[in-house]
Amino acid sequence: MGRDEPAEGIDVTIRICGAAGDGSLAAGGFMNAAAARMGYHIINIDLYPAEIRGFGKSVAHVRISDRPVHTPGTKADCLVALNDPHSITEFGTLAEGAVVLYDSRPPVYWDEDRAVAGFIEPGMVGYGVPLGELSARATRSTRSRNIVALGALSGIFRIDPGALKEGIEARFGRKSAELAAQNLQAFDLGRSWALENLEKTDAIDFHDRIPGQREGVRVVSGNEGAARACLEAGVRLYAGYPITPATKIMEILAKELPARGGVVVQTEDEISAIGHAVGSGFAGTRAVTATSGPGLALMTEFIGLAVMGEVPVVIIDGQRGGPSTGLPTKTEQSDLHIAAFGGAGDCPRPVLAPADVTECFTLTRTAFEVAEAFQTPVIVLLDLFLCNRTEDVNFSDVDPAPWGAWAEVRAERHEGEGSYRRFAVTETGISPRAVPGTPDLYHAVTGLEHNERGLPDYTPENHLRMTRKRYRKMETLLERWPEPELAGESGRAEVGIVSWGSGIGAAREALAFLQTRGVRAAGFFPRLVWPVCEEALRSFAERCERVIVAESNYTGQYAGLVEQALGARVERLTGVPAAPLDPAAIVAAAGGEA
Amino acid sequence: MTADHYLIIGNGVAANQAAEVLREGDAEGRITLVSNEFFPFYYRHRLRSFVAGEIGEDELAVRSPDWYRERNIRLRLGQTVTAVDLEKKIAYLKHMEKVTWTTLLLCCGGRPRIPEIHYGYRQHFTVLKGLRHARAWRARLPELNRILIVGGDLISVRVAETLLGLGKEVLFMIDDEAFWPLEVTEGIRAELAENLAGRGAEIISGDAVTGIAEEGAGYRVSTRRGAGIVCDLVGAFYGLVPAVDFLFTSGLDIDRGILVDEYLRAGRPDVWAAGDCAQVYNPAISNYWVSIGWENARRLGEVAARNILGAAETAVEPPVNALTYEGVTVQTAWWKKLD
Amino acid sequence: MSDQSTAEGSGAGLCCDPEPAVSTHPQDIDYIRSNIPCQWACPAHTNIPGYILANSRDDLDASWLINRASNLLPGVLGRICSRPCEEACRHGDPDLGTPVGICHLKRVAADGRSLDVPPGEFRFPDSGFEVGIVGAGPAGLACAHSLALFGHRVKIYEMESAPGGMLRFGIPAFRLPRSVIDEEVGFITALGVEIEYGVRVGADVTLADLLERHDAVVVTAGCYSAYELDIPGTDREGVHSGLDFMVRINTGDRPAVGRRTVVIGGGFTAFDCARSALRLGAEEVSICILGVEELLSVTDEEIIEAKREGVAIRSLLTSLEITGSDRVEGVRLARNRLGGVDERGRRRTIPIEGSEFTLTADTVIAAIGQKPEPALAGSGLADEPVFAADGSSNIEGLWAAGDFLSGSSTVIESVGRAKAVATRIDTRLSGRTRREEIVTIDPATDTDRRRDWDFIDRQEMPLLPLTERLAGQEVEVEQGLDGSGAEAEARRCYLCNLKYEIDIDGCIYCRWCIDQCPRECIGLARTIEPGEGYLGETIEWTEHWDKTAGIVIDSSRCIRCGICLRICPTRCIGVRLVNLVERFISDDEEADDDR
Repeated sequence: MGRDEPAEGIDVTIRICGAAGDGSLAAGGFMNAAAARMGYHIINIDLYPAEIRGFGKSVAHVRISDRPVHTPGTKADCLVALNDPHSITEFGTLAEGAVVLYDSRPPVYWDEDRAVAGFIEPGMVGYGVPLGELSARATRSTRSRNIVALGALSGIFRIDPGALKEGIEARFGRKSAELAAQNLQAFDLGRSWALENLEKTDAIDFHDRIPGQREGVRVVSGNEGAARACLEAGVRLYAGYPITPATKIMEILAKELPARGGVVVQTEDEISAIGHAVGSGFAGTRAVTATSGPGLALMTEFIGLAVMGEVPVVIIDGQRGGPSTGLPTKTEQSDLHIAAFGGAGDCPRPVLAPADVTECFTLTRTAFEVAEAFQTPVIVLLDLFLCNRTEDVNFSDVDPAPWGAWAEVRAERHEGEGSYRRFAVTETGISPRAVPGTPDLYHAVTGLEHNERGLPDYTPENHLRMTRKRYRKMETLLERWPEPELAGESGRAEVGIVSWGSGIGAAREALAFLQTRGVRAAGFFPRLVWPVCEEALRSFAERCERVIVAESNYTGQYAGLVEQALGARVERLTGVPAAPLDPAAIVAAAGGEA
Repeated sequence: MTADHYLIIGNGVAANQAAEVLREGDAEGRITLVSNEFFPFYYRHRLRSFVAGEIGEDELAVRSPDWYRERNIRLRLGQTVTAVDLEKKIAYLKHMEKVTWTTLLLCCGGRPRIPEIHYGYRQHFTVLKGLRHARAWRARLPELNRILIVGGDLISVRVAETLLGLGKEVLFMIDDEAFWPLEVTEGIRAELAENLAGRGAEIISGDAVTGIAEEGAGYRVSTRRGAGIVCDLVGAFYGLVPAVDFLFTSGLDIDRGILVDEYLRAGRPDVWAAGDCAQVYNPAISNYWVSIGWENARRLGEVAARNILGAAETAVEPPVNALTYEGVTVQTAWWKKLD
Repeated sequence: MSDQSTAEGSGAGLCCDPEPAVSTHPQDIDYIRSNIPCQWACPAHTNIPGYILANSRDDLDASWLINRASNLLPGVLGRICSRPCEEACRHGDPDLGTPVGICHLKRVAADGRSLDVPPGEFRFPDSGFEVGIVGAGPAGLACAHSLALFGHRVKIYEMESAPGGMLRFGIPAFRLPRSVIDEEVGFITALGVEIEYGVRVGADVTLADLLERHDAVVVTAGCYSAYELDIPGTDREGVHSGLDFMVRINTGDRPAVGRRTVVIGGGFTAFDCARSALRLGAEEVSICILGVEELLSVTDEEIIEAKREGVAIRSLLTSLEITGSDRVEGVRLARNRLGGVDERGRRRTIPIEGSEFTLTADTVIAAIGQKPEPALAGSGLADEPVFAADGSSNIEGLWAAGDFLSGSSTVIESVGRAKAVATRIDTRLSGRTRREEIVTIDPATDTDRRRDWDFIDRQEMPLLPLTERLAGQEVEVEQGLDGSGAEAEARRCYLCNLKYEIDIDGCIYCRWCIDQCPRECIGLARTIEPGEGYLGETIEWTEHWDKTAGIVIDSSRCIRCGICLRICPTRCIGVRLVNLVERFISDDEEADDDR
């Protein structure tokens, strides 16, 4: 069975499409977990319908590869059609020669071209499997068609069934042993039926290989990564207001924090949420809040207070389509401006943007240290795409501090003359900080401009000094922060691609593609997006004939910062806001063929 | 969507030739090929080389997907027609889809025939018709050394030659009914036997299989004369019967194949049959015949398509005195009329 | 055996009435036609789901008795019946697989029962009437049995030396052992039915004589006159008539057959002759039929077995002449083409000009059908007897049934129709109708089956290996389904005598039943008109939620898989048991259940 030449490597994208209630997302979940456990890398993104049950379409998009991958990809190599009318709308997402797995025993006769089978084009491969019937045989209902389909896929694509079955058994075994046995049987029926009745004519072949069991590897979403970071950072207070796509962070912490002696407060709005967090930070206890664009807009006033009072706090922003309520279920990268500049006055604060799920964990973890080390609010920019997508992560393998360790400067006892100066101007801009309640180190903190002791002072000279101090902290951060990631061509390059956040994944893939086409392309991928690393940018731009800044917002928010730093125009690739960046678009902009 | 829909059941040479001619003659009408095989149209006669490991699967395909796309011919592969309603002009597909047609062309081909007398042990026969079987043969070939071939139809001759070429031991038993509806004359039998014996096969004549039992990893075959032949595989080559079971409830006239007139029309103005599944009366031999072989099927597919488009070519003219099968021309004068 | 989560007691409501009921309303009887198609197709209206359920419970005695009540000869019919039920069986629908092996299950019960004799059946008291029956074939036996239960004194006049008619003399022993015939006839004679052998009505005694002796006379003499081939050469040596050939074999004779036997004809008799010829030593046997195999009336299993034994079936042939001098040397044939359809709905076969050829043969058997003997010459009656389709005649007290009345048909048709004629005779004699068909409707609590049984493949009948078959005429080829095969086959029955109903008052319109049903058998009803009887409501279906009066199960599409019943969250789906049965109406008007 199958072709004669062994495949070069595995890079397969599967879309499982069904109506809400068909279990397409559950099936995607099983596939992810099993692939990760076997040692493959996965990226997965789920598309939800609006309704809870009934008619909406839900699609699990899973990309499985034996090499690390950075984007979910746009074209699918395989479509599993659990529901015909919905699946018909998916055909635009299929690559040439894609495989379509469909239910060959629906209860009713379809008229011509209402069945998925009618849409299969020459070159595509269609496999009909009696999903409903096999499900009924195993479980006496049709609810396990998704499991039957997984079994069939394992047979057709020669995916070792062990990990898949373990996952199925574990999940259903929680409810009852009988349910687990029935679903395992559904899987087996799908697999054996496919092996007996189908003739393999497609090119997808996992060869029953298991690249290497990675113990401890888990399938994690961006939100889960960020939540884990908060827990490991020792957060004791989460205050927040539910908002898509960040709600999951609150849900996880609501379950986990109380057990660790922490508190989760659902506030009446985002203003109250940030108020809680700033208060906690002021008192010396780590706190965090997570929100999205509209919420961040409400928070700007308190952010200003935290900047003025030099109070550490971490704000996680899962960006989505804006402005205003915008597009709650679509991704975008358009909060950079408000994260860096939103609020009154000259109000500097660091903005970090992770590139993938693992960094949602590590970078958020680092954010807490940076916040305390530099006595500042830190905004971590995720986006809906990162929040929701899952990747394989092995937390025990992850370097816990890829961005270095950041120590606080604490004032434990009073030294020197006179009363304690909370806001002492120093070389670095960082003043030794006493947590309120420390004996002999009482001080005042106010949102009014103040002197070194924290008492209001409105003189222009003082204001300049203090503003300069606050900006000096940012410069110190920039000095100490690791160099931005450089990729691709290390010498002179025909084209330089700059990107941030989840755009980095698309840019990486575009870069790799361009290099295979012989284009000398280089990449610049900062994680600290504000303050802007001007020096590094300048040396990058100097060696590139062209610079393209690729990000998913309309105006090119980071591109504007780059231009400011370079004192020169750059090319903007702003993609389609409300969708993740497409590597093909970057390649096209760079002049290569997609 | 224009009104005309030419639905062709089958994806072999008759079906594909017909599709090509139909598209040349009608640029607008919809043409759909539906076949229960998963494979794209392939060269049947190259299967032997594939089995022998000389070529890979990609050398079997006759046409690329682009060929169909360019001509706007739809392919439904791996989809099975389970029934046809001639009044409503609907074909029912196994995956529960109904397809309507204005013209139906049946090119369903044949499936390997196992004479009923062997039914008791038919599970021990191995057949070779189509790529699915070829894949199985190819995978198993390294472990097979001694192969008994029963039946003796024209495909078996080529298979035997291939196996002999690979150094396998081949025993060959010729059956009387291998060439239905025509009988094997002594002349043909002798020529086949000589051909194969010359290449090293052991010919068994005047005997027939009466039982097969598994023995070890292979089989023990008992025969009418009392012999017990031990071998690794029993290949059954009793020719083909038209694969028309799904049409029995349709109302079409079916004997062994679909009964058609000399123009390949199946008794109704909009239903036609061509290739190995069509049974047409041939006055030259005073008997019905079903075509054998690639070239004949191709020709019939062409004739049917032309007649669908309005011509009136007969399928039995010029008088067929010869069957040409893969370069082997067999004079029908050698075929004994059923006596 | 069944799923434990069935609803307990179906809800009361519009459809699910927990009260048992009995109905003779034609609409309720008509419900059987679209819901229990097997039973309807059986000319004797055998309660098939009823007996198959008994099979699956391993209660073979009950199954046997259910069969006897309707078709009287389950041992015989369980082997040689033409099985119109299986053609109608829902499980054989194109999207559902293959029909249930109903006939094979009948045989399982008949062969596997523990009862040696049937327990006492309901009988009317002695009526004093005497009925004479001509011919102890299936129709005569069925008639006799019914009339005996009605309380009449029955005597059968049989021309041969043993009972059974075509069963014994037409059908070979390798399909139907003689012991089976003897035993089942024995159960009938045990009721007091007398059989006189060696009596030829029309020669030894006339119909007129019989009419004097008896209050009613039923002619069930069958079709014992073979059609003759109207072609030259039938007088040559080596030419046999099919019926004659079989009678000779079944009376112990061994007719000589040469090397190459050609049988002309395509019915059961032709196949019996062909297979018998093989057992007599013919080396090459072929059957020449006018049309094509697909149109033959014999069962597929029969055709396969004939071919398996080595019989060649040659299609599209018209016989023109039997060649040879004194002995047969060959048959001259023309090839046919198929034409249209004749008045009787049969395909026309038209010989093709110039297609003639000769088939070598040393034995020719013509089995092209049988007809009744012309109204028993020498009837001694003043008027010529003319029989109506219902079995009555122009002569008071003279009736007919079976093949004699209808022409050559099948055993089950003869049995079924003969019973109906017997009821009519009794009505005439007793002055009132004393047997009728009724529909019983009872609440049920169990589905008695599981959905995964629907995917069990049809079980194959174990067969004697070829080498052992041809050893003699007597060896029975089919062995009967054995233990696990019988159990599996019994489970395949959908038990269509259950009616699944949704109690609209309990339904919350969650639609789970619609989502899960395998076959588009539950839908939205715009209007629901109750039938005039208990069953058979008229539904106007709709696709619109806002026009729905209720969710209804379409019984004619339902395959009784039970999924809806198990999945319903409010347990508002229940079952009722609907049985079509015969009962006797005893003298004091008390309904006596004959289930």
